[in-house]
Amino acid sequence: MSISKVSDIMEYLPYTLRDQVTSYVRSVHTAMPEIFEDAGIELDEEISDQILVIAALKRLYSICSSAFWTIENSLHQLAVDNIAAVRIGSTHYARGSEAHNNLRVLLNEFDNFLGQEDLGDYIKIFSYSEIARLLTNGR
Amino acid sequence: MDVDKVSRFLRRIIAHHQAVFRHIGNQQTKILELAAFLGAKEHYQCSGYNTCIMNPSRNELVVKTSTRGHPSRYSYCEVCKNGKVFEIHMNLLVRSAHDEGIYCVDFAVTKKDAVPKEIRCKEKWLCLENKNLITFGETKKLVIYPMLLAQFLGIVHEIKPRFIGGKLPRNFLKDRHFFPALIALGHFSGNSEAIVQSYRIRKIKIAIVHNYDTRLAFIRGGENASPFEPNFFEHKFPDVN
Repeated sequence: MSISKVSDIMEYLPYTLRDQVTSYVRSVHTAMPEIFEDAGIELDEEISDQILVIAALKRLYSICSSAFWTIENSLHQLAVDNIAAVRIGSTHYARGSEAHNNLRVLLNEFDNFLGQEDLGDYIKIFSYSEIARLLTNGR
Repeated sequence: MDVDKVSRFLRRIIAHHQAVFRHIGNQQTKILELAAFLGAKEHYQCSGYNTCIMNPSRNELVVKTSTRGHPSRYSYCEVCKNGKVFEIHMNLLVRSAHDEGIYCVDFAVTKKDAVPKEIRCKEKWLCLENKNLITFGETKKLVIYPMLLAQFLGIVHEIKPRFIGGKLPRNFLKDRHFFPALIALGHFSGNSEAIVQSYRIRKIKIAIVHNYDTRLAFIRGGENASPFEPNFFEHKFPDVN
């Protein structure tokens, strides 16, 4: 899998998010030799492809998770002050509001897929060398 | 791992939720600024202050998202302890420390009543005078890389230069204010952590707040600590940089 294939997958993301994901994947691609060296395994194209896809998945997931949980945590903090909603421009966030629900539904869909495909660990692990080892051992 | 299956999932979820992704793209920065504003409130709460969010109308927090708009139309936070009162404002125009320049900071801690609470027809409010600014913060939805640190240092130099090698304002530490803070969603990259570690020796008093969303998650989980604490992760996650 090349960077251009990842860009292709991200084609219909809005520019700002597409750029964040592809830049991140590009940086992982650049670091690939060091990732394998730190993992103590020989560079392998198939494992590299898997790592790039995981990088794209991780980055997009973290963007969505961050958006949802930042709003959720903010609403939680504000509830202490008896404030039930936040208005950002024309968008209204409150528990049960359309904007809040849309973020939750999106995140749930990610979580369901990660659970079904047993990919949750790859999202949580910081180190790509460790991911490389796990992928190699799981062959 | 099935690369094709994951690729198909990503295509499908992007196609199915295009409007939501567009929304996230538009709102990402503003959501982070909101979280930083509330983090500042949390900081003062942890420091023993009573805090209160003041809203212009109804029971909702109205976030100021740009330089435009009179501050009285947006929410702010009042913090008080031992008779001392300060305010936290979002996207506030502030005067330079050196000249007539005006900068917009993502959130600012000010002296009480230094920011007008109503629009006065006869006079246009331009900005907060520098002497009324206690401290401030900037947010970035990026990893912390060396040039970002250099850019923030430049901002601090223009707005509050005494935090770079100078003497702290009277009662600054006693009143438990935070140093000018750079709030970032990402981790340290490159040698940026080494740069930050050198700030102490160089007498540069700024707070570099990395992995901010992770900090908020801990606080939501009941952690009673300021999200701007430099060693926030020390005892929880020693390997997180």
